This record gives sequence, structure tokens and C-alpha cells, in this order.
Amino acid sequence: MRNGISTAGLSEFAYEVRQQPEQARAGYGVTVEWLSGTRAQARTLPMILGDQSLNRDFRWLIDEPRQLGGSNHSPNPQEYLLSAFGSCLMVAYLVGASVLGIQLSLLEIDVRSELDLAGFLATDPDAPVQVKQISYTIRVAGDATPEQFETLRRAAQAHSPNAMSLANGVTVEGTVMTC
Amino acid sequence: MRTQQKEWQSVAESGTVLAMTRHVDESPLQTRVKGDPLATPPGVRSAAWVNELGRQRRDGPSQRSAGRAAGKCWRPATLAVHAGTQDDVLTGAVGTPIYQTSTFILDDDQYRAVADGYARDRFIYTRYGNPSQWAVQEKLAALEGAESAIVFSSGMAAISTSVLSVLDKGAHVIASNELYGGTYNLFHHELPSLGFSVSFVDPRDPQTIEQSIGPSTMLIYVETMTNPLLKVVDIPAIGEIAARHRLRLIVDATFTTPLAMRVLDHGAHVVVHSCTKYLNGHSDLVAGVAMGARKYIDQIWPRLLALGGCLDPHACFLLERGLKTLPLRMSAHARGAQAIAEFLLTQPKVHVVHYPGLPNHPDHALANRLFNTMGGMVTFAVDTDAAALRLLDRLQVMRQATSLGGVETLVSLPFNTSHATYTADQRARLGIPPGCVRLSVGIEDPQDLIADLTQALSALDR
Repeated sequence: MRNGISTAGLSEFAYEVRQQPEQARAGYGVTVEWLSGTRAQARTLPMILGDQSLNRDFRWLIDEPRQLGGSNHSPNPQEYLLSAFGSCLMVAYLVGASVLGIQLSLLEIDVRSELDLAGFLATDPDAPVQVKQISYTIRVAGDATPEQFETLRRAAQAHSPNAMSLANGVTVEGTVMTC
Repeated sequence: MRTQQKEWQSVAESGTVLAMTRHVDESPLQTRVKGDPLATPPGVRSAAWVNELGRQRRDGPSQRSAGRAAGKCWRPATLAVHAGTQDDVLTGAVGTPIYQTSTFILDDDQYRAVADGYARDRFIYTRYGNPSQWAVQEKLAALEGAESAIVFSSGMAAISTSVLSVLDKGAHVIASNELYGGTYNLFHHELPSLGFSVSFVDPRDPQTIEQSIGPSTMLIYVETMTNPLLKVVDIPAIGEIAARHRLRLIVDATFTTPLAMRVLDHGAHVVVHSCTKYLNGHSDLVAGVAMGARKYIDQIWPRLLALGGCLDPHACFLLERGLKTLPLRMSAHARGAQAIAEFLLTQPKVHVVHYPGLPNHPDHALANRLFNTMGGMVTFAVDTDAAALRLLDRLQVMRQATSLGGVETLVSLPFNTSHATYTADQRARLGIPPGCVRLSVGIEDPQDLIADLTQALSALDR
């Protein structure tokens, strides 16, 4: 299959969703557990996809660098955020390339961002808490023109749930359960 | 028609044998397809994004013969004879030819099918698909009321491949605690080695099934009828639980066949059969099948490719041939089983008789509600296992052999076959009494079978 993606399967899923919109509903969750200091472990919760519950038996560790009070044992939350952005964009880019019939031989995405920790520390009321900007570079090779690769980039960003969540912002709600 | 004749002529002149079929729609594009003529490419390169792709999921794959189109309203006896069967267009030979080949001549269309991800709809390599497989798959799917089917090299290949296709890493399975031994071995010995966990529960206790569901549960696996005690499992009740908890339900319906009950209508996502048994019916091949919505069977297909349990074309021919008489045979099996069960009830040396068609069977009402036919399995008990062994030695018509569902009556003892790894106490706890005998009643004249049992039972006195 071109790029390891079944365009036939994608097309069938799109038609299925037109007929049964509930099959497109995906519910995700993770539990983040404090281990010690800034170290934490995230584990996936069962995922709901349409009428099916999918087991997600995955865990990963999060930490901060020593300079920020951690032990530097794992990537930090911002790096996970960027990887979530980049990997989601990559899926969209692969799907788009496959739909266009483009065979890729290389695909790498550098994602960069910048944060002013004065916002977190609240030492400067004008400093934003959120990351300033996310920028990315796609390094790609395959049987398409540079123009096609750029068109594809725009389409991929526009269809990437994580990219659009970050670009547009989403509502965040929280509660506390005292145990 | 002219188009098709031209096509055949061209085939003959070129000396290339293509899998030509009688197509309902004879457009030039479709007559060239080596595979499913209605399975179209998704439209790669003509679309900008996924929403502009043009391929929809269809039932099959199928060569879409003329018979297929007419089959929607056929009754089982007609489906058994005609559904899926492809007369040979090159010679006019009646019946599906045996496509005894491992591979197929490729052209651009098949390469495109591989690149675009619909290789299941084209003939490429026999592990991927073969006209002999498709013909029998279509017949089986028609009988089961399924969109799609895949035949396997054994019932266990169908079961293991289907089960592995629905489980994600670390998944939990809820399975019947009275499974067929081969399936039990898969679940008890193999699945834990692969990181899956299994809870074995009473399949006739929906409350316990529901209480066993945890966050990682993905699959409920049961059989329509238990072995050897022939308890009936309430598939609709379990189907409702599976739907409510977003679980997949796989049902082994080997004992009941599609003629007794179409489990897909009652909440099962995939139904599996050992075709070795009633479906083939002649004790001369080993095969299995998994059936269900195309969506689910398409998920099984890549695992078939990876695990390798495809069915040989010659075995497909035998299975298709056997299936043509399935309704006739099942009537004879059930008629004989009912007569023998009623006869055994009158025998003083017989302590207990299990047959769902008997009014005193604990699940008789449930069986009446779920099944169109009670099948050919009868279980009874004499005094001891030693007496049961003597009985088997004296039988002259019935064959002492494991397996079931053949035209010949087979008789076996759970204590030294299916449940040999259990102790007598464990068997007693499962409700299997000493002297338990399992009959797979064949299609012989029931009077001859009763005479055989009569003389064998009388010999127990000596």
C-alpha cells in the first residue's frame, strides 16, 4: 500500500461515517500519575471509537530537566505537546499524500516553540503563560513537486485535530476530587 | 452480450486464461477485472482529500455471478445449491471449477489494488483470495446472512485468526467455561503468552458475564451450544450485553449451523464455524470459516495473510460440494437424533439423555425460541466409563471416532477424548457423569441406528 495507508479503507470509512455519524466519534483519555518531584507517568484509558471500546495498554514517563527542578529522566510536557502536534500533523500529511497518489520516501517534521517562564512564575504580569507560537518544518521527499508538497502541508494542517486544537484553542474545564 | 463474446474470443486467441465470469453488468471495464467487478478503486489522484474519494464498502468479495443477484430472496435449500456457485463461462461446465493455482497473472488493475489498499477484491495470490475460496465463501455467507466470509484451513485457524484480529495489546477476553477443547487451549495456554487475559465464565449466566467486564475487556467469546452436555446459550442476551458495553462478540456456531440460528441477527459481530463438521458433512476435510459484516471481516483478512491459515482450492471445492446438501442433511440429522433420543429415554440402562429437542431438556424452551432445528448431537450416560467403553466396542453401524457432523454416526466418550485432561471429579463438577457417551447422529436410517444401539446396550448385561 502506498505509504502504508489504505486509501480504499479511508474512503470506506468516510462513506460509513456519512451513513452512521456516530462511528466517527472518538473518545480518548489518559491518567497522569505523580511519581515523585516533577516525574509523572501517563497511561492511556480505553478509547471509544463508534460502537467499540478499544484497549489502550500504553504508558510513558514525563519529567523536567534538572534546571527546572526535575531529574531529567524523560521528555517534559512541552516536548510531549510538540510531539503530539507533529505526529498528528504527520498522519494528516500521510493521508493527504496517499489520497493524492504521492509516494513518500522521507517525511520528518521539526516542531519548535518558545515559552516565557515568567508567565508560569507570574513574575511579569505581561508575560503570557501559554507558548508563544508553534512553528514547524516538514522535510519531505517523494514523487511530487515542491508546490504539491506545500499544498499538502496546508491541507494537512487544516485537517489535523491536534494542530487545529492548538491553532484555534479549546475550552478547558477542571474539577477536584478529594480522595 | 456481444461485448462478453468478444472478451472470451480475445481470451481464447491470446491463450491467456482469465477468471472470466458471467457479470450482471457487462461494461467493458468490469469484464476485464480479475476479481470483484463492483469493487472500484477509491479514486486516488482525482481527490484532494478523503471526503472526495469514491469507494464504498460492499458485501463480498464476489465475482457477482448472475445467481448472486437473484439470491436475496432464496430459501436456505436453494441458497445451499446455487449461492456463490460459478458455472464455467469458457466451457459451460456446471459448477465452480477448481482453481488449483497458487498465483494469478497480474496487470495494472491488480497492482493498483495493492497500492490503494483493496487487494482483497482482486485475485493476486491464493492466500489473499482465489475463485474457489470466493465461491464457497459466498455460499456460506448467503446461508449465514453475512456480508462477508473468509474460509480457513481449519476451524481453529478461523477462531485464532478472528480472535487475534479483535484484540488490542493487553486486552481482556470473557470466554465460556465450557469451550471446545481446542479453543480452550488457545485461550488458556496461548493468549496469556501474548499478553492477553481471559476470564472463563458460565455462558448461561449473563449477570456473571456482565460483572466480569473490566476497562480492558474487548471480546466476549461463546458457543451456541456446549459440548458435550448440549446446554443452550442465550446468544441474544449476550449480544445485548456486548452492545451495551461496546464489546465485540464472537460466536462459534459449529454445533447449530446457520440453519438452526443466524447468530449475526442476535448481536454477534463475527460467527465462526468448524466447516469440518456439519457444513462439509462428509468427514473428508478440515476447514473453518469466519463471517460477519464486511467491516469486521476486512479486519480479519490481514491477520489471515499474516498467520497463513488459508484454505486450499481443492478443499474449497469439497466444502462447496458438501454445502449443497446441508439443509437435506440437517433434516436427516435432526430426525435421527430426535428418534434416538426418544428411544434412549426408554432404556433402563441409560441414566440421562441430553437433546434440546426433548421436552425434558432444561433448555428446551430456549432452544425452541432460538433454533429452527435441534441438530444431530445427543449425549447420554450409562453406568460407568467402563460400561460406555464396552458399549462402543459392540456398536456395529456407529463409528467410534472423534469429530461430529458427518453423514455417518460417530460416537465418542468425553472422558477419554474431549475431556481427557480433566479428572473424574472435575468432569463431575462440569456435570459430565461417568459413562457419558456423545453421539453425532448421522443420516443413516434411524431404525438401523436404534437397532445398533439396542444390540449394544443388551450386550452390557453379559
